[in-house]
Amino acid sequence: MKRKIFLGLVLPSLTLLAATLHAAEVAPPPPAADASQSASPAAPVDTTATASPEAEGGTTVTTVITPRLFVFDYFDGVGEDKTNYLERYDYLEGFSGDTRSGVFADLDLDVIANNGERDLFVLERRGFGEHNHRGSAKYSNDALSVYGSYSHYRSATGGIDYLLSPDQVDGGEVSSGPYQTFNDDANRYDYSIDRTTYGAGFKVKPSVLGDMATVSVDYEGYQRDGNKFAPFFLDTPGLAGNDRWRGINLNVDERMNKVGLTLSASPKKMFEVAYDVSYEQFVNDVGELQMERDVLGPAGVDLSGVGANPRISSFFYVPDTKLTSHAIRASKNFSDRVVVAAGYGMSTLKQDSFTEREIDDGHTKGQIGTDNAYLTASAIVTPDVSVEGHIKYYNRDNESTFPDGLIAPTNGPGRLVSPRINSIKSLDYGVSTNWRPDFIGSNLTAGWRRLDRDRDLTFGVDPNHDIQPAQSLYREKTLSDELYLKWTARPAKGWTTRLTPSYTWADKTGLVAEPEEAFMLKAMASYAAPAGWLVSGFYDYKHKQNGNHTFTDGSAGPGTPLTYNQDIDSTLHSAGLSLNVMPRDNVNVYANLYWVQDDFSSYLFTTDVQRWNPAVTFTLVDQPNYKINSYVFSLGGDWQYNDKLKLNGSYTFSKSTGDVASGTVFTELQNATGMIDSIIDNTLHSLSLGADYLINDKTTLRVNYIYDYYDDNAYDLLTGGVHMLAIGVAFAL
Amino acid sequence: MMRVFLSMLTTWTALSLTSAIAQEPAPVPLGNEACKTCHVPYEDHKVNVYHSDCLACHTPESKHLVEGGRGSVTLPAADNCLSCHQNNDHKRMNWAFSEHKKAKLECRNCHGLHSPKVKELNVGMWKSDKNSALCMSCHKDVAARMNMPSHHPVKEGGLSCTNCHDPHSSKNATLISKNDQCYKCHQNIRGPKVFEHAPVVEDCTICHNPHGSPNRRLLQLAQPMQCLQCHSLALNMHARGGGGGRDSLNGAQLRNCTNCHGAIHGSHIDAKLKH
Repeated sequence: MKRKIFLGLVLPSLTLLAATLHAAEVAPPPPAADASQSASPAAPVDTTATASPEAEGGTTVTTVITPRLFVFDYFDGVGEDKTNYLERYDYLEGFSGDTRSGVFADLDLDVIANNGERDLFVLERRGFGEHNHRGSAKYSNDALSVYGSYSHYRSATGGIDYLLSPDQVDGGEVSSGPYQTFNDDANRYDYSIDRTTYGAGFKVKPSVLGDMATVSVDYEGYQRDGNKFAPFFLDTPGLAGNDRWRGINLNVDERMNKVGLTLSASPKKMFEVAYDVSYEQFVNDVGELQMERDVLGPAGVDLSGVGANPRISSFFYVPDTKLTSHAIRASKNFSDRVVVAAGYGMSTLKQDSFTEREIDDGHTKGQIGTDNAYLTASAIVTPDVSVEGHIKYYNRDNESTFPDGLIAPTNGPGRLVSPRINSIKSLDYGVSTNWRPDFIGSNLTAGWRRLDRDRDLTFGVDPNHDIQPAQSLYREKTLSDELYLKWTARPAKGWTTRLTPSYTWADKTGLVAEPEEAFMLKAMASYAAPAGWLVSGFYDYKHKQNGNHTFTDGSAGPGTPLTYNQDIDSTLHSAGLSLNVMPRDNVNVYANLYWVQDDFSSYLFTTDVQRWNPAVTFTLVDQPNYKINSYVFSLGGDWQYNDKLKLNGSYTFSKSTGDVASGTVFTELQNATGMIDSIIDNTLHSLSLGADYLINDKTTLRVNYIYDYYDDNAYDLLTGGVHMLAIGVAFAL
Repeated sequence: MMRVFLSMLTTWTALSLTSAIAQEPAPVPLGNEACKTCHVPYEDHKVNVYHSDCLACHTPESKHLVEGGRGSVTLPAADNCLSCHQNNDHKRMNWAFSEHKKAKLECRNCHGLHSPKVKELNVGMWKSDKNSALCMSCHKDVAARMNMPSHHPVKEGGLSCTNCHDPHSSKNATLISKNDQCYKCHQNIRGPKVFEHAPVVEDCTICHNPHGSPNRRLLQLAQPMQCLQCHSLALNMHARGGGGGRDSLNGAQLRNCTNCHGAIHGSHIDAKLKH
């Protein structure tokens, strides 16, 4: 934690110092005098100009420093021991450590050093408290650019997972059997994970390399740590039924570091070529979590009846890995009439650490290799007609070894519940033509593309213990075609319309999630009035279905094996309307309305035994339907009240409502948990108000007030709100 | 509190050093004085040495010099910008095929040529980065999804649109797969795993909508519907006991499949992805 804070605070400053030294070597003077932050692009009125630049010699340094005091209060939600719903993306903590109400401070900083001809150095820091702050710094001149950045952000979505765990929800357990109790071994209720990212790099510009090449080195990394709630189920022989369904507090402590080198060149400006190489190391500092030693033993579970192998089984193991990748890309423009681009890349992901069980079973090579390539070309045939074609290849090979003891097809019951994915090879190619007819400013593109994907899958060879292709919906081949049209027109000054229909059909699909048939339509119209008004609207429609995949009864089942089609049907409607108005020169108002309806159905099948049992028979129970409507309405604007005062604000209303399923699933969910898991019905109100008041040429008072209220009609425990007031003073130095 | 003081102290020190450096004046670029007689504000908005040469990017008609007016001077098209910004630049080398170019966007639609395009954020987006605010000014549907109950924390400042999307690139001319985009941050999921889950290997967006969803964990569909499209339910494992066996489905097992199958992204030991 201390290291992250140190990085967060010192990195921008160190970068600033380095850049300062560079700046001393450069020069230039001139004027310049843009203050700090002024108006947003939508409101081109000059607002709270707070700074007069500090010009010494030739370089102008504009600095705005804004310390802020934040006051917050979460209300109506759960206590501090659990996660407030609004806290999931907005984790606040006061000086006293209180996370429900308190006071804290932070700092924004903007520094721009301009030599009259360019911004030599830009530093920006944004701070919203201990758990959300970031910074970046960049220095650039004709020869070199150098940058550094960091960010720190805490999310607490895992705490919401905990609130929805079986023992937190009335009815979340059943009255008998292995699910009758949920063994909460977590011993904590609030979960959060911090992600601290950092990056740095430099680029040597063409002026140093004979105007022929650029070299850049980039480093990036992150630290991710915290805790998450991890539920699991055990069906290990020898365990008593009551000890099977559990949830634990899982530590997260991961690091990633990556360094990359990119060489770009355009030899005599004949063509562009770039070569990238990168090396990435991912380290999980949380050791292996074993069943007996780390999980069930400490929880007091009797493991005397459990075999030696299961006792050392790992839980949620995340291995250390290394990823190396290379890529070379090139493009060539032939007299602005033909452009060709091509690239080839490859990567190797290696597993560096293994579980004890993996090592015992001889699994010491975990490796994924990929290689991919593309070739794309476009040509102008006539001034009004152009054509484009592309072909992309992608291959993923699982190059790991899988010894018999671990995942061999003949190893025993249920080892290959899903087929092993040895490789996936994908070929995507297509052509399109673009035509600009002399008709209401039209631009028409028509195209076709094909996706051809081959999978090498290993299904188990023991029909008594391994799942067989006939009992799986996963297939080896995908072959689909798509026809599409894009029509853009500008029928009158300020008007733009766009219509994009497409139709996809597939002879074969690998997963039911891939469409056997799909129709999509995107329609958009916008009008920009000379007075600065902008109104736009869109409607998108997407329907896809797949009835291509079947389950078949097992060979040892009763009677003649029957075949059952899964039938996926999905319809998505969405529409939006946006309005941006400038009723006066100093006022800008916007309003957006968005609606989306997701309507999905598939068959629900049950089996009497697991699918790898040759006696399995399927039963079509129902066709549950998921149907959710979501609405988002936002209204906001800026008002430059006078030379000193600028007001701005926004209000967003977001609502999602509907049933997550119909029929049997809905009924059973309602019987079990009431509304909690059967429906979605929530509303979020967000009100933000801001005021900037120019106290004098160098000082601006900035006040922001935020009010969020989340109301969940399915699960009352999630309902709650937050007030936050932020008062800052921006000093221009 | 200590952190705030530390932050102020270190940055203040750096600033003091910066401002203490006096520098030699450089020659003023030629050819712009005529422009500046009218376009005074631009004098204060130079972000790049080459951008301060008006005529390098703009071609005024003769009447512009007399009458002025927006229509009588050209604004730079992408080709103008790329004459400098494409050479030796691996990020823009495939602009010719990019989706933004095909949508007829010019560089100036996103980049402020004289000063940053987005100078200040509306208070509703005040934690966001400016790049994301710019993206959302056109991609309203995505902006709306960022207000749904589950979303990537872009408007909260946790990440930026450009962490995942390269606005200059093309889907037809990229070597990065969709999953690779996700694995840039989610290395813990990419494996290698002994027992893989097919949709995880195939395409993260089969199950997740990265922009926002009404369902927890960015799921495209709420559980159990997300899972039931591919999986049947074995009653001997997923049903309520009755008499000597289990014969009917129960809501407790239909709630969140991941309550039991917690290693849904793959496991090193359990074929059924339970831990």
